[in-house]
Amino acid sequence: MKISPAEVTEVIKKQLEGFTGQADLEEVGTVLQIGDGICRVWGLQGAMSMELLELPHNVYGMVLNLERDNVGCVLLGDYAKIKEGDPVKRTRRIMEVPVGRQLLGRVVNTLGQPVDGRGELAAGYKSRPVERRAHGVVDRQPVAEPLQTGIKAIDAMIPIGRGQRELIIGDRQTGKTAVAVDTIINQKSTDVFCIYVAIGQKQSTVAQVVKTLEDHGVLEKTIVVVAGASEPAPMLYLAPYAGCAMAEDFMMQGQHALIVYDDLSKHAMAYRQMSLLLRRPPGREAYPGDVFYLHSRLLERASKLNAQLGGGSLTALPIIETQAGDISAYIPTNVISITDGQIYLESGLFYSGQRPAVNVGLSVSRVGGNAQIKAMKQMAGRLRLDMSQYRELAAFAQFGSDLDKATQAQLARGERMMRILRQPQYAPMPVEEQVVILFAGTSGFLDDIAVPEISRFEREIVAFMRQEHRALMESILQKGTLDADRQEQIKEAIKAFKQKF
Amino acid sequence: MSTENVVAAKYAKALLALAREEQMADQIQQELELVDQYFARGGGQVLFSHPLLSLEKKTQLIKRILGEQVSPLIFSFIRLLLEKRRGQLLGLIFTIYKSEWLEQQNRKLAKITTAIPLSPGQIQRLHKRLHTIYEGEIEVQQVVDPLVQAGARLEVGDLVLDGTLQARFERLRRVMYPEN
Repeated sequence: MKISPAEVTEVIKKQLEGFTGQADLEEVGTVLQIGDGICRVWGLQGAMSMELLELPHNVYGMVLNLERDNVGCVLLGDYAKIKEGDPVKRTRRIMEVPVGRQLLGRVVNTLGQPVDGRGELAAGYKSRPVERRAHGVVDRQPVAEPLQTGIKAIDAMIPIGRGQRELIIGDRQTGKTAVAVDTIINQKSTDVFCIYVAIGQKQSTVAQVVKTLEDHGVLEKTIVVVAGASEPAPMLYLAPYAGCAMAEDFMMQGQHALIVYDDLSKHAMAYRQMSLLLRRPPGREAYPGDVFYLHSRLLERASKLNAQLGGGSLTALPIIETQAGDISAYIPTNVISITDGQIYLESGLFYSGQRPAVNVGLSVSRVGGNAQIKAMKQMAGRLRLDMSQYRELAAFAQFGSDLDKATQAQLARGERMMRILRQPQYAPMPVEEQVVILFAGTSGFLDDIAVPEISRFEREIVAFMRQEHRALMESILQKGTLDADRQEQIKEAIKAFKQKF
Repeated sequence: MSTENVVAAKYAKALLALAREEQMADQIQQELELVDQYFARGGGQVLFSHPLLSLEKKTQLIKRILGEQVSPLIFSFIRLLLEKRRGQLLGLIFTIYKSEWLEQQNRKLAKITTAIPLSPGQIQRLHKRLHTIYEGEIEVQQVVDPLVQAGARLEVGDLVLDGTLQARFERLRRVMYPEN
């Protein structure tokens, strides 16, 4: 192979672009103390809060504490080689991450550097600061567009709208991540971009999620931000803000984005570690005083923008892990009060086979009702009524067997509805199919079908409707409502199907 | 404010008050710089906090290392620090002492680093220029360091104006090899 000198010159010229030999006036401090990923710097009187500092060996720090004659900063990267007396330079920049479509389909770390072994990011990406003030009242409009999760229990009873913040809360191993991943998978054919932020998780778990997303063909419209359990606390602390900046970029361009923070309990723990090492006073459960602000300023960035700003939206699904079902602990109560509702997953339901293990009694969506298609709203009203009556009776019915006919019918209906709300993992359902099956349930068409047969009935009727009544299904989706005429058509179809079943 | 800072500031201010009484604050500062070079930066820190060495042994060792270079005040100060198990604060105490001393005198220290010594005329011109920028008294300290190759580096407080060849090479290296 021959290398021409011109090519070499060209490469060097490219590399030297942006290099100036000029001396700049710099502000330099010295390292006073270093350890546990925390560094105290003498001097730097002009440093800003959250500013990036440059240390030797290509290590960066972020200013968190401003004190009378020194600043406390956290270190991003390998700080083993830094020692006392080293110079620390101000950069006058707030931390930024790369954003844009180039990141779609990639797995990146908190700093936006790819970690999936598929090379550098494609050129031409922009950057955004990780921290920014959330949009104000004037910039927003009410949440009114549905974000379909494809999960019957959620879409029917705890609907999520675009721009909403819905908490997913539950003990370990109750399917919290599964709900979030299913929601991402359901965005395959929608115009919603997804960002999955894994905070403090095992690398193997994250690899599993990435594989699942890839297998279902949604990875190309998803960005995965990973701050694994082995990374230092500052990286975990910044990961959700970095992910949010990437998601905001889509929102600002008038598009729709969904971001999953998995999970914010570990995020709070990372922040607690940093705060204690920085010697900030500990408060309840040893969390610092501003742990509420930590999450409120993050979740407040989820919004539905008004038409002047392009009408984009950012929906947030934060996840919180509870200990032994205790939702009154510090972090869960904080995040519950910040979000617009919660999906409460229970291990009891999970182990009794009710999956997704959504406790429909404790779960709420404070804005979602407006963000449902009309047909679903019609179904949901009756479903909610049936379910609450069933819950009341179910507890009571355990004591005696002599129940009158009406009560028995109510119990039978409830049992079947519970069965309908079960759904296998990675199998999100289109909203029009959900409407049909819920219609069948609430109109009593399932009352004479044995409970174990319900799943098969559901599968087959959906396939039947898809094949034989395609026009009807499409009209439900397009019109959004179930008027008397359409209800009659569905009834006829179900009757016809039941004769063959 | 962290506890270490509060404690170190108390020691530093006490030492400064004592030194001023004896009219030797400047001398103490220079001596502290020497002690700092020997102990606080580098490996000398180990000596201060080593659990196997007795207080007597440590004092003897420090006396042998520093010898006649420092005044008795510094020795008794170091001994006090060791007795109170505050040896690790020496670097911080020195930093605070220096800034307090300069502040009390309303004096600023400007450090100019070059590869070859500057002529008295050049230093005077620099002094004059600095006077137009800063209020109060300015003391120009000259450091000759062949490692900077060429050009000059000026440091006043936190601010550094680095026009040395060494710094330019470093910037160039960063542009060409950003990863290390």
